[in-house]
Order: sequence, then structure tokens, then C-alpha cells
Amino acid sequence: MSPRPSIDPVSSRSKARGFRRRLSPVLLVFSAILVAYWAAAALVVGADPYDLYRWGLRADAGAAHQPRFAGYLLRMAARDPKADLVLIGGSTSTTYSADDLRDAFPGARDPWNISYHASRALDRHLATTTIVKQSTAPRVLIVLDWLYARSVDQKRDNFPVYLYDDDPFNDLRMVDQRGLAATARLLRTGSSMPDPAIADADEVAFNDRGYRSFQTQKTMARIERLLGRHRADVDRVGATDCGAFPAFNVQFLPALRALSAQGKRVDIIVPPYSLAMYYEWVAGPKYLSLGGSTFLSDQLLLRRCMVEVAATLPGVFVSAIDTDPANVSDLGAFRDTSHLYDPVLLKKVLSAVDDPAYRLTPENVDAYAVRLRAAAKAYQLRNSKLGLGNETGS
Amino acid sequence: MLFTDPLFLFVFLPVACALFYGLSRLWGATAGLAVIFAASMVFYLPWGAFSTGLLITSVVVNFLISQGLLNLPDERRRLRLTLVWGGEGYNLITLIWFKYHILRAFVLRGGGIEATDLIIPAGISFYTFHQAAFLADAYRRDESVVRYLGGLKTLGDRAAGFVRYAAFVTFFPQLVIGPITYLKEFQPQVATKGFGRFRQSDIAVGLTLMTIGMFKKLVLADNLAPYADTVFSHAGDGLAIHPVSGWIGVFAYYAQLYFDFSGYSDMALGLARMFGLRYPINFFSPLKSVGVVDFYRRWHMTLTRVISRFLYTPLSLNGTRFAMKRRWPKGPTRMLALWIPLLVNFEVIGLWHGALWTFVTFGLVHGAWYILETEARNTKAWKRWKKQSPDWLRTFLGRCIFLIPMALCFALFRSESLGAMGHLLKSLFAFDFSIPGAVPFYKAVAMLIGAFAVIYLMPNSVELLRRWRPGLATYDNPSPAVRWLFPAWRPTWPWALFAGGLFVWGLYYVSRQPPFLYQGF
Repeated sequence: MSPRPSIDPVSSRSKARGFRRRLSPVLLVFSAILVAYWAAAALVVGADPYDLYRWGLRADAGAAHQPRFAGYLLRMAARDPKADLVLIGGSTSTTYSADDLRDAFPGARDPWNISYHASRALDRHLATTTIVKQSTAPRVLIVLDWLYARSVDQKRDNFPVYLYDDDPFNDLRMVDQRGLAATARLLRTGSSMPDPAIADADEVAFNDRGYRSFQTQKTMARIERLLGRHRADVDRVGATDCGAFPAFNVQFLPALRALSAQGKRVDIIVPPYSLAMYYEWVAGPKYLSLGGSTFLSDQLLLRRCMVEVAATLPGVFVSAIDTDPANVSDLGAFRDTSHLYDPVLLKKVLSAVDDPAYRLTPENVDAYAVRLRAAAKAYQLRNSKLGLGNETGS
Repeated sequence: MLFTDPLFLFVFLPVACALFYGLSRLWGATAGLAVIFAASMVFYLPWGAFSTGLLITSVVVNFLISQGLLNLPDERRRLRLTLVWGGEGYNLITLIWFKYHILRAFVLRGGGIEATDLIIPAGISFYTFHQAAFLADAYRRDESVVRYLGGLKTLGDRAAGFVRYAAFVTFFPQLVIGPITYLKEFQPQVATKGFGRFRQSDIAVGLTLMTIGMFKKLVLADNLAPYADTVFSHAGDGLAIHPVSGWIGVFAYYAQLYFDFSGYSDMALGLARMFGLRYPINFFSPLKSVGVVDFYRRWHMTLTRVISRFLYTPLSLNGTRFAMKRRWPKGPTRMLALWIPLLVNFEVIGLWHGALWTFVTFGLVHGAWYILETEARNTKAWKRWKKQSPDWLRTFLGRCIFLIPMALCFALFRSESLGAMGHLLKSLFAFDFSIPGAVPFYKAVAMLIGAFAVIYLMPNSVELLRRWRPGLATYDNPSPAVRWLFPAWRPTWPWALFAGGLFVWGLYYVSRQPPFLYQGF
């Protein structure tokens, strides 16, 4: 078989002559796409489903808790004049509905939860600064995630940064399938976000699926192996001073100081990681790029740094339910090692915010760190759901 | 501005096209070129005032030097040589200064790289090579240069000449990532009476090419990226990697880089065609290559030919002359005339991507592979087997042998460091299946099967549009496509709807805008 002939660049003049006689279908199709896009852009930008501009329809009704859309409702949360509480967090706090927040904080009538999955330092910073600059809510809750111990430039994939930067031209990117759906909903129902009940149900279903797949003997056996393998190095010493956390120093603290200076009450919530998580994030390959070999030590240092700063700022408090390690030792209460599932404990995380028993202060933080480090080091797997381990846990 | 940005697609491009055709019709080709230059500056400005200033300075310096080269008589050879080497020196020094941050950090601070050192002015590697080739042509008084920029007497002539030159260098489809074009390819098209005249066929072919490129980038490359990113970030962090995840990451990057870069090149060709211009073809199914020699005739062809013209060929010729003068035996002659020039050639290609040990090693490995393959294809045994064996068998075996080494070479290219590459290699061949997978297996494999089906079964964009001469042939490559599987594109309703469908599919992902991978170079 001989080689196929090469692509011979032949003159296209004769073809072009025939082409001119009629209007090209390609031009017609692309002209139609162009016109349709401009029409869609006019509709989306005009309706303003994400409440970015001075014009547009009011888009905030029913948007208070949308974990899947949190990146899109920052401006709505920030510009809601009725908002009296805003929770900023990651996947450990996506589960809280507006009703949960009202129950936990009786004074709050219009709370917003802008927690979202897989948050990273850069987008969390954007969320926090948007609230700092635009929100009038008197109370802000911020979850002190692991991400503040990491670098400043990590960004969640597909987080719509373009909606909140200083470049108005890139806002056209919101004219996509999601933007069109939000606009259609806004025109139809008065809210650009899905029904909050559906959003809550989605989140519950997501958590339920995670819980079912986590609560297996196989998973527990894997964790058991991790415990055995990393007993000796789980408390390996890492960073020794607060300067080791760029995202915390460069992004979080300035925002926190600004919120405090505005006279707001700010509650920092230490996420209730299970004791097993410290083993998994030291060792689990899937998570290591997020955690690190000194994860436990780094987390404890981060919390101490936080407490020290909070003590200097009016209206800023830090709470943690793992001041009692028993709260985070039962894997039967988790949907994976880092996410609490048990509704009672989840509520406890919120109620602990105003409970002095769970407050971290410069006076008790060292004892807290010693206690948690010891509990993690001595941790024996416990799962009340599967009947594994002893009753006292740690 | 990115080619895939809606602002570019739906505002910038239609406006630039309308102005180009409108003003060309009213005031002629120079007005059209002025629109191209102005539009290109608008296109480039988002990369910052400093980068734009650097680009304009570079264009002005090269234009002035070219004028000196054209206006000085041949008798003043020494001055002309000084000028051309001065110009090439300026190009090379600015490229090295702004691209190789290690050097800058060393000179400015005695070491210690800072974040600002890592910012490379967009397109500097491309427009520098572009102009370096142009200056060489200006020195030789190439016919295209003389016609395009010669005999500029009055101030008005010079201004018009500058606009023409600036349009050639900064034309936005090729400004940031090529293809690196010679003036002799550009000038004859601009000189025709038809330049600036609206032709439906140009727009239709251009839109189709642009759509194919956009689909490759937004739908294929960007959806493969997360798998590659996960695995290579694990390798960079020294984490244990499941071998299957590792191979998924390696092949995901192999396909991602191809779709990303060739997607950009398709878009560049299509955009240029929308302005009535044909640009050199940069990719021709490189992953269907049967060896590394074949690969470099199909991958980033315009860089290969520039390096080959200005580096390999002079080195090889001088090496041959040197060895022949001294009557060296065959072995050392071959080493001086072929092996060393090839190694230098590939090392420069590697270093052109950046001053990293991974790129140095990439260049060395490719140089050594190229030499080995050239020598193997030169043996009697190979020639005998070539005569006796069917084409399909050689093609099939060639592709099989080529696939894994080339995928691993690109893994080296992608790795954060040599250590990370070593770790990845260990993970790939350790076969430790007890490690949890780093990527969702079924989704990733389905995506890879789809991507490689496109690579191996579909014709490339040039083959698809073969009846409409989508670009200028850079190398004469045999077409590897299974033609009966895909008929040639025609400006008919089914093809229009097909292209429209691909475009809308791409638009689905328009809100995420990761940059093209080669923007980093």
C-alpha cells in the first residue's frame, strides 16, 4: 500500500465563485447564534440574576441557603439590607439551612449561609471581603477551615471569580446555561435560585449518600489500618509560629480586623473534624495535597494563633466543640472523617458559639491543644453505628 | 483577551471584522492593516500596559532596524551586519531577560525568585522569533521584505510602512501563541487585489476552523485537565499514586496538551482566514506519528522550521564542511554534522519553553531519540524491511512503539521537577494496587476513550477542510486520516449545523476560562 497523497493546497477560486451566488448556511447559522447570544446576554445582564448591578429585578428571595450556588449568591447576601447573620464556611457548614440558623440564634430573622463545597483560600477570601465591603449584617460566623493553613493562591475550580472582580467586561461569562436558568427562574418565580426546600433536600440527600458509603466495615478497616500505621507520626511537629500560614495572615486577618472595626460580632467556629481525620490527612494519598504530614500540629497552631488574635479584637470569639474530644471520636456521627453528619452534634456546633463552655481563650487554648493532641494520639477507632470500639471513645 | 472569551467571540471579533472589511473597502489595504494593528492592540491590552509597551517597543526597534538594513547599500556590509546582529541581540536579550526569571532574579537580587519574576509578557517567545526571522530576511533583502517595506521615502510612506509591519507582527490570531510566520507567507496575500474584500467562503471556512479549535480547547482539553492536574500535583507533592491513576494522568495530559495547543492553532488559522489570510499550518495529527522524526514534522511545525532554519541547518552545514576539510572518517563526521546539531536543536527547543531542568531533560531525551531513530532508519536492515513490509504494518507498529515513550516525554514536560517525574515513573511501574485511586476511574477512562477516538479516528481540521485550503503547508505530510470515515467539509446546511452544534457545545463551558497552556511559554 502506498502512502496516501498529501493535502494538496488547490485553488479555491472556482468554488468561491459558486459560493457567492447564495448566502452561506454557515454564515446563517453563526449569525443566528450571534443574535441569540446577544439576546440572551441582554436578558441576563438586564435581569441581573446575581444582583451584581444597580439595575435588574430583586433576586434574593429564597436564596438564603444554596450550597450548590453559593458562589453566585455572594452579592445577594452582601447586599440584602435585611440580613442579620451571615455564615461563611466550607463543606463542614453547608448543611445548615436558614431555619437551623434561626433556631440556633433566636435573634436572627434573615440569616444567610454562604458555605460551599471545596472552598479554597482565594475564593473564601473573595467571599469574606464581599461581606466586609457590602454587608450590613451585624453578626458574621466564619468557619476556621484547614484551608487557612495553606497557600493564598489556591482557588476552587469553576468558582465564578469573574462576577466579583473589577473587570466589568468578563461579566459576559455569566451568560451560560446556569445564568440563563437563573434568569428564567427569576422571571418566573421572583428568585434566581432554586427553591430553598429543594436545595436543602439536595444537600440532605448528598450527605445521606456520603454517610451510607462511609459507614461500612471496609472503610472502617481502612481507617483502622491508618491508625496503626500513623500512630507514631500523627502528632509530628510542623510549623512553630503564626507566620507559617499565609492565607491566615494575608487574607483572613485583615478581613477579620475590618469586620471587628465595623462593630460586628464575629464568631469563629473551629470545624469539628473527627480524630480519625488527623490520621487520614497525614497519610491518605487522596487528601495529602490538601493536608500534610504535620496536619494535626499545624491545625492546633492555627487555632492558637486565631485565639490570640481574637483576644485583641472587640466582638470576636472562637468556639470549638472538640474542646471535649468525645464529641469528635465517634465515626458513627460522621459522613467521612472530616464532615459531621449527626444532626444533634451539628446543632451543638452552632449552639456552642454562644456557650462559654466551648469558647477558646488565650487562657485555655494551650490546655485544649494538649488535650486534643493526646486524644488524637491515643485514638482508638469508635463507631457507634457499626458497633465498633469502646463507648468512651478516646 | 482569550479566543474563548465571550467578549472576544461576540463583541471584539464581529466589530473587528466589520471595521476591517468596511475600511478596507473605503480606503484600501493599508486601512485594513491599520484596523488589524489597532484591533490587535485592543486584544493585547488586557495583558497589561507594561507588556503592551514592551511589544510596541519591540515592533518599533525591529522596524527601524529593518529600514536601516533595506536602505543601506550592500557595500556597507559591516554596518549592515552590525545592525542585524544588534537587532537579533536586542530580540534575544529581551526574550532571555523577561522569560528566564532565574537569570533576572540572579542579576537583580543575586538569587531568590519572587512572584513578579514569574510573570512572562504574553507572547514574547512568539513575537520575538517572528521578528528574528523577519530581520534575517530583511538582511538578505528577501523579495517579500523589499516589496512590503522597501523604498519608504516620505514620512507618510514610513508611517504606512510601520502600520503594515506592525499589523504583520501583532496580528492578533497569531500574536500570543503563533504560528510563527514568515513575511514571505503574509506579504503576497496582502498584496493581492482581493485583500480586504469580503468573501463568504473565507468567513465560513474561518468560522468552522475556529469552532473546531474552540471545541478542542473547551470541551476536550479542559475536561481532561482535572485528571492530569490531580496526578501531577500528587507527583509534585511526593504522594503515593495508584498506577492506573498515574497512567490516566499521563495520557490525560498527553491528549490535553495536544487539544489545547492544536485547538489554539486551529482557532488562529480560522480567525486569520476570517480576515482573508491563510496562515501556516502548525499541527497535522502529531499523535498519529510513527516516530519522533515524523512527530516533529507534525507538531508545532512553525517552531521546528524556525529552529531548524536558524540553528540546525547552519550548525550542520558548518560541521560537515569542517569535517570534510579535515577528511574525518564517517563516524566523527556524522557526529559533528548531525548528532551535535540535532542535540543543540532539541536543547534549544526544550529551553525555549523555560529554564527548568525538566525542559532541559526533555530536549536531551528528544535529541537522543531523534538521533537514534534517524540512525536506525538509515540501516540496511530497516531499508530492507521497509521494502518488504506493508505500509499499514509499519504505521501500526510505529504508532504503538511511539505512543508510550512520547506520552512519558510529555509527562516529563508537565512535571514540576525531575524529582516529581522520578516519583511518577516509580508509581507507574511499581504496580502497587493497594493505593487508593486519585481520579474517578470510569469517568476518566470514558473521557480518555473519547479523546483518543477523536485523535485516531477523526481527520484533523486541515484534512476536514481540505477542499478549501485552510492553511499554508509547512511540511509536506502524508494524510493519515481514514478518509472514508469522514467526508470533506462543504458549505452546506448539514456541515453548518454540525459546526453550529460544536460551537454551542463549547459555549456550554464558556464561563470557565482557563488559559491556553502555551500562554505560559
